[in-house]
This record gives sequence, C-alpha cells and structure tokens, in this order.
Amino acid sequence: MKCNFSFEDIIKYSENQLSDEEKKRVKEHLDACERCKRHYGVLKFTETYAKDSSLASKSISKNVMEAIDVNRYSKNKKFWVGRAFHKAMPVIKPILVSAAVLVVVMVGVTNFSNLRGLINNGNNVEPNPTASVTNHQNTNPAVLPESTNPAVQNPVEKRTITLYYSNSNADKVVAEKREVEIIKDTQIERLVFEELQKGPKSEGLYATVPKGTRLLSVSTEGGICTLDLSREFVDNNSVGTAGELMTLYSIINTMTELPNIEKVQFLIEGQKQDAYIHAVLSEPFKRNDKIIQKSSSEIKAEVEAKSQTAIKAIKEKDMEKLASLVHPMKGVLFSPYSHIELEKHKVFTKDQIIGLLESGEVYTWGEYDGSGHPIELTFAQYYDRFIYDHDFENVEIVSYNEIKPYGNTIVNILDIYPDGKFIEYYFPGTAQPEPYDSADWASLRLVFEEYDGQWYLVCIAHGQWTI
Amino acid sequence: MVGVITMSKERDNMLVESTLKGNINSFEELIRLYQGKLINFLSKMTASPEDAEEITQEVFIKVYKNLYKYNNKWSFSTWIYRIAINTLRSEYRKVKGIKNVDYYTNVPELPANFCDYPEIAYEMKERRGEIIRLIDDLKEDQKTALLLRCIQDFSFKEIGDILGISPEAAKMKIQRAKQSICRKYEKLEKEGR
Repeated sequence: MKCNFSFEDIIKYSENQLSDEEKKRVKEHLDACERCKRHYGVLKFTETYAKDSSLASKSISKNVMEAIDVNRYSKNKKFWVGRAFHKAMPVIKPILVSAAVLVVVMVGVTNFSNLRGLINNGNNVEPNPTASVTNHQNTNPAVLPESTNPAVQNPVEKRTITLYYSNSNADKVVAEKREVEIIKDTQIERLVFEELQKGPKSEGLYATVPKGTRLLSVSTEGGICTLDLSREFVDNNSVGTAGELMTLYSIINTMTELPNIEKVQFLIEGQKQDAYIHAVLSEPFKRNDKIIQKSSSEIKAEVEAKSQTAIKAIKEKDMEKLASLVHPMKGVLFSPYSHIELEKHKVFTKDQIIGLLESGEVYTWGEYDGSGHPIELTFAQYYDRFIYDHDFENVEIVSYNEIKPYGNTIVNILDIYPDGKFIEYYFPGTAQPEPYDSADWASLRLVFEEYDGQWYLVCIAHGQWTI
Repeated sequence: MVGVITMSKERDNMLVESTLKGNINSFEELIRLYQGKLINFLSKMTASPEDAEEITQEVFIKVYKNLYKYNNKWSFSTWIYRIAINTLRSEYRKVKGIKNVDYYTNVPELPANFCDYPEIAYEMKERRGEIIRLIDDLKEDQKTALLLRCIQDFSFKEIGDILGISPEAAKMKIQRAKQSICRKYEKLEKEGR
C-alpha cells in the first residue's frame, strides 16, 4: 500500500485540527491504509489513557488542610501586614520624563504663536499672564493666520532661558527651559526673575518665590547680581528650612544661568539682612549644582556606570571594590530570589563585605523556595549559588529599571526600594532543547539608591525559577 | 473555547485573591478544582498513584505557602503545573524505585469508543500494557509535554511557559513523543508476528 500521508497529517486528524476538506481526505486514506490506521489508533489510545483519571479519584483536600496554617493569610498575621505595607509605599513616578519631553517640544518651536498654541492646547497649566513678555503692539496671536506672522517685524530678540523650581519633595530644584522675547532696553535679570515668579509650567514642580514679592531693583557688577526685593519676600515665606533653601537656590541657580553672573546678593528693601529665615543672607551666594535634580537620562547613565563597575567587581571577586560601591548607611542586602524579604534576607555593611569571601561563617540567607528549609551557607557558597552562578557580566540582555515578565514570582524591587534604580543582567538559559534546560534562566539585579548625590548599591537580587 | 479559558483564569485569580484575604474556603475550592488532574498527571509521570497523591499534597502545601508571591501575569494553572513538575523532580528521586510491574497488567479498561475502527480499538485494548510502557519510556520532557497537552488541554504557549521553552519547542516535543510511540509500536507489532 502506497502511503502519501505524513505522520503530521495523522496527528492533526487525531487532534481534530484539520479542515473538513482535509479531514475527508485523511479519513478516506485511513480506511485503506493499515499502517496509518494503526498510528491513528495508537494516538487516540494515548490521548484517552492520558485523560483517564479513574485512578485519581481520591481527595487529598483533608490532608492538605491539616498540613497548612489556615490562618497564614488572615489579617492579623504579621507578614501579611508587611506585604500590605510594601504595597502601600508610594512609588515616585518619573514625572520628569514628561516634563523633559515638553521642554524639548517648547524649545524646538521658534514661532511664538505656535508655542502659545501648544501651551494652551497641550497642557493644563493656568493661563499665562504674558504682560512682561508680550507688552508690545501684537494683537492676540491665536486669531491671526500664521502666514501673517513673518510680516510682523518685532524689534525683539528671542531667547531660551532656564528657570529652576522646587520638586515635590522640596529637596531638589528642577530646570525648566522657556523661550522669552526680550524687548530692547529691558533688563534681562528683571525679565528672568519675573518669569521665574510666574511659576512652573511642568507638572510636579512648585513655585518658589513668595507671593507678593516685588523686585525693587536689580544690578550686576563684577559677577555679582544684586537683587533688591520687597518685604513680602521675607514676610510671605511660610515654609520651613527646606522651603527656604528651595526659594534661595531656585533664584540663585536661575540667575547664575545668565552669562556674567556668578553670585547673587539679596537685599530686602535696600538693606543687607543677616539672615533670611535660617540662611545667612549678608554675603553673596554661589551657584549650587548639587541641589539640581538630575534628568532621568543622566541618572540612567550614572547608574549604568556604577553597575558596570559593580558587576565586574562581583565577577572578579574584588570585594574591596565592591565595598566601595555599597550604600554607606543602608549596606547591601542579598536576596536569593526575585522576591525580596527585608526581614529574612541578609544585609551587610560596607566594612563587613570586605573579608566576607574568606569567612567560614555560615549564615542563614532566607529559605529555599519550595522546601522552605533555611539557606545555610557561607558567603563563598552563597556567592556560587545565588550571586554569580552565570557569567552575568557578559550576558546579552541587560536592562535598566525594567521588570521583565518572565519568572513566576512577584518582583518587588520597586516596592522595597521606591526610589531605587536597578540594572538587570539576564541569562536566558542554555537553550538546549533536552530536557528542560532552557528553564534554567537566571538573572542578577543590582539595585542602587541615591545618597548625597551619588548612587550606591543597596541590593543584589538573584532571580531564577522558583518553587 | 477561548471564553471558557478566560473564565477559568478569572475564576482562579478570584480564588487566589480571596485566599490571600484569609478566606480558606477559596483555597479548598482550588484544591477541588485541580487535585484530580494533578494526581492523574503525576501518577502517569510516576506510574504510582500513591506517590502521585503524596506529591500532589506537597504541591498544594507549597502553593499555599508561596501564594502571596504568585504573579498573576501567569495563569494559575500553568503555575501550579510548573510547581508540580519541580516537586516531582526533587521529590521523586527519593521515592523512585523499580516501577511497579503490576501497574501495566492492572491498567483499567478504557472506553472502547476512543477509536472509530473497532478492530484497531480491540487491538489497542489487548496491548494497552505495551503502549503505556512505551509512553512511560519516553524521554521525560517529551512525556511531560505530551501529558500536559492531553490532560489539561494546554496550548503550546502554555506548555512552553511551564517547561520554560518556546511554544515551537513545546510543539516539537509533543510531536516527537507521538512519533516515537507510534514507531515503537509499529516495531513491536512487527516483531510480534
């Protein structure tokens, strides 16, 4: 008997995956071909046998219920409170990204009427009183056809200025760029200061100059810009020390963006004051770059650089180098699995790290997933098993602050370290088909947190298939 | 079909959430829903119903203990099978002895209507012990994929998720498994003559 049907056809037929047309053809063939018929029979038998659960009628429910702690997830349990707490911790969203995009768009637009259109349509900021910028003969640009604009010869110079506003935590100032028109004979210092007073256009930023403050006079000499402000600058400042610093450095950093200005001297109603609220006001201030919040791309570059050093140090077992990267206050936590548990996983300080590889001391690093037995290893053993079990330095998939969908446990890095950034080194598995090998994916995540303007290692979390 | 799958997925997630809120009855419901299929799957993997029951218990205990870590981007069904396979691999080494020979002779009769060809159905039933032995002798990964496909009607994607391989690789394993059984049966049958 000549047989033109492939084994695959028979499989598809047995799984009922063919079209009616094909089914008919295969069926006709089966009626005639003993060999294919037998294959078909074996396939159907296999399926029926697999599905048959007559041997598995017993219920194990009772045994399981006796073995587990049925109150494990009731509300008064301690660890449940812990989980809820981590979940409730605020995660600070990178609002700056959207702000940065807006700034780019704004700078990119040179036509003023377009710019206004963008601001008014694209953003829910309050209407912008443009008195100082647009107090020229222009009628409302929104109603003018665009084509008439080039004909209007404004005796003005367009310029992009940088203003600094407070972030939501009042611990950093954030740059916001804005294009303004400078009318002839206007003092640029005054224009910038009054622009700053109008408040930020980006979401998540806060105005810093106390309400009602008037700029009485301004002059720049020898790199020092002297701002003479009205009493309201002092009287209406209702915030504490943090707010005070925001107010001062928002102004100082904004003014020192201008060429020729290096320092800012404040006068109140024409007089030098000893103090603002706490800050000494009698001397001119220098610009402070440390207080400027970095952009997300700057942060990314810094974290990536740190992480590269860290992964190299880990690979080379250069513990002194690694120690130098560890957070000076928090130390570094070692998590054997993706799910970080603060109360179970070990934390070591900078100083403890250095001699750890040579130490014969056995620590408890948490619990083995599945068995729940404690992970009792020396650091050197832990290192081989739960830190550098693959050549993570040279893996191809490295990502920044991104939680990938693989793995079966919740990755809670951002719950535990809401302000942290992490780099993930992902080893996809050996990709050999036999048996299960590519289930041996593994990852190493290095988590960094900022402290005093620098990024430090706070956690080394190993990821792998668990339970 | 898609609707059914989505519904059972939602049902599972609902039961998981409810368990995590302290409602232990929801966990019992999950056991009821999955124990039969798990015991069946594991007894076919181990060829011993007693071992299968023990491992299944172990699986549910692990599931319960680790439930708060369960990531619902996964469907619960693939998660629990994955745990079952891992448990089998670590636990079964302890219990694995010589396969119970009686197992093959005592396989219960299967319903005859599995095949539209009565003479083939008869032949299969007569030689069921041999075919089951062929299934048991498959490479472990092929056998796992095959059983998952038949028992839980998992898609290739889901089987891939459980085994940590691509859907294509999962499909390939199942096809090879089926091929292997048929070829070996053919050989047996020829030798038998």
